[in-house]
Amino acid sequence: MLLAAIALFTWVPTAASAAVSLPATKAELTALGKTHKTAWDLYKDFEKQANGGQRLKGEQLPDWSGTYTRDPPGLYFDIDQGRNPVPPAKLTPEYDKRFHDKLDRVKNKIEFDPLSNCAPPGHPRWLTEPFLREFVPTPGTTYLINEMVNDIRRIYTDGRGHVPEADRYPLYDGDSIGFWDGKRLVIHTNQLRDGQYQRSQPDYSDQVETVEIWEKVDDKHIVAHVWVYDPPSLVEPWYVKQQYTKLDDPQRELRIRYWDCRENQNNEVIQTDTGSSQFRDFTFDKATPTPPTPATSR
Amino acid sequence: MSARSRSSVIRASFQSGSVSALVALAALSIACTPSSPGAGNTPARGTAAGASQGAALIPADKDAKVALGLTYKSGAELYAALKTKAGGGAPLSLDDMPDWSGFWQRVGPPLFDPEQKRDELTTAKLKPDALADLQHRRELSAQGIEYDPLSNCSPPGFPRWLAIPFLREFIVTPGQTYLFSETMNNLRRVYTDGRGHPPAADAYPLWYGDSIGFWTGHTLVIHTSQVQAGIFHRNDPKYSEQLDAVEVWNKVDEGTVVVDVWVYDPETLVEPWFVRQTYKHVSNPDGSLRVGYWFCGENPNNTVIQTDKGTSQFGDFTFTKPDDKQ
Repeated sequence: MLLAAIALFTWVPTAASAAVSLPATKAELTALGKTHKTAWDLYKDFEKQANGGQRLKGEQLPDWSGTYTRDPPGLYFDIDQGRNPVPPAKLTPEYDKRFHDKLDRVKNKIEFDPLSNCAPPGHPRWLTEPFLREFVPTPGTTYLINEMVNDIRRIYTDGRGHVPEADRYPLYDGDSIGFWDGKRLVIHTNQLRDGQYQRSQPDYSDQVETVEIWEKVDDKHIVAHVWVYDPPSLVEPWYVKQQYTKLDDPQRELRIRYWDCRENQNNEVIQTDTGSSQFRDFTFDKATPTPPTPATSR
Repeated sequence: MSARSRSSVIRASFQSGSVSALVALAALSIACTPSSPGAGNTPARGTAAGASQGAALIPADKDAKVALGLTYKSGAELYAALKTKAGGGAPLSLDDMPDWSGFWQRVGPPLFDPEQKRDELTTAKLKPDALADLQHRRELSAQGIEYDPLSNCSPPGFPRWLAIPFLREFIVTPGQTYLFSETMNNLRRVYTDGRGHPPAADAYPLWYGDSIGFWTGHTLVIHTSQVQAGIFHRNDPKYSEQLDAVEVWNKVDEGTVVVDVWVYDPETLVEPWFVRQTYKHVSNPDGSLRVGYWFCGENPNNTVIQTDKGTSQFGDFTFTKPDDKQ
């Protein structure tokens, strides 16, 4: 009897105990997004399937320790885009035109990235940035950390809701709440600023909202299923899968340091003759071809 | 169902099972607790009992703490002595973690030593060059001439990090503790997984240096080296990249985290500078308080201009008037 009681009350949720049913294929996951009008609807559906979700603590929390990086490392929001310059997102006519205008400018080497001014990428672009990451689940908050510009997303899993509507305004990383479904973390994010999914990728508006399901699928990989909803820019939700791979660090010498964007002289930005921006005197290692020399006007 | 009532249901359903679970777990933990250092009298979660571990490690009296610092030549030596005294420390158990969650804010004036009196130059015992530098900067400051690297969106760096205002979070995990300050999104990483500092060949000055630590009970002991030169605060002394420091962190009650700090810097300090920092828990009963991304460059108040005197000042900086209800 005592053993039964111990077994019952020391039960630890596992990934296998996740209640939310996720289809296996990308087409099905995309279709799942389309069955809900908003990200909030999809999130509430997941929450219902998970009976409200769980609050994990102590040994129940998944071990996501270590340092990760996005894999594969490309700059496309959808890693399945391949070499196609146009992503599979279904854009509204306005945002489709805006996107193709951008591609035309890029062809002429005219491109401005807000990161050049040390601005953070913002979510959902945050998902696609390179460099190092740490994922830190704690009992009431999960911290999703990207090395670049010290960018930390906070996912509140203590049962709180989003901030009241009267207090909302667009933020770089928005406002994220979530719940645990076994060892999967389900997140809803709203209150975002407008932005772009990446360089040479479409724009999104400040009505963008996302649902994410994060899961460690083996010792080295964490995946995030992501549904993006944005009525001004997307005809239908955009489903993508992001993957992050744990870096080998047997000597435990790998560190993440404070990212002071301005102190890297490679980050000195100049205006080129064509009106674009470029890093001054930026050089890659010799193994990589040297980029065109920018104009010297500031 | 509203978000708040939804969360209440979740909380109620979770707690209904947890009382019995705690009874069962308590029985297990009594039977299975190892006799490792710091674990024999494991304190209750996040209570003053946790501080008693630190109290056993270091003296309670300030004069004795100052004297303790004087018996060692460097932060590294003091840290090694504390680690030996703690039997090497003990890794945190996932089911017995100190609860340092929530938001915190420093208590005290914008000076590195919160106990410094208004008419004092500093409580640090400075070498002549550092003393002359401080006196010169204080004279300029009295004339309204002051330059703070934060004006250019630089981070404060460590150990100044300990003394800056705004919100903080202290995030404890078994192998690593993250000490976050809202200002410039400063995140210190303290490695408590047993690793040492990087090899000397790989060490170079950093804003936050390199921090390793160990736990004894719910007390966190940290050693930091490899820092960039800087200032302890506006109107405070400068320090060199030879600085290293030891911190002993304790949550002394539900609303207070204290940090005893010994700073060693053979270039600027005659003897180690001991200070105590205090952080108070910020009330957030409905959970609506958030920390957002701090993008220094987007605040128009952060436009820095050069004044006629050659100093820097924020362009068009305005405070909100106390009676402004808008």
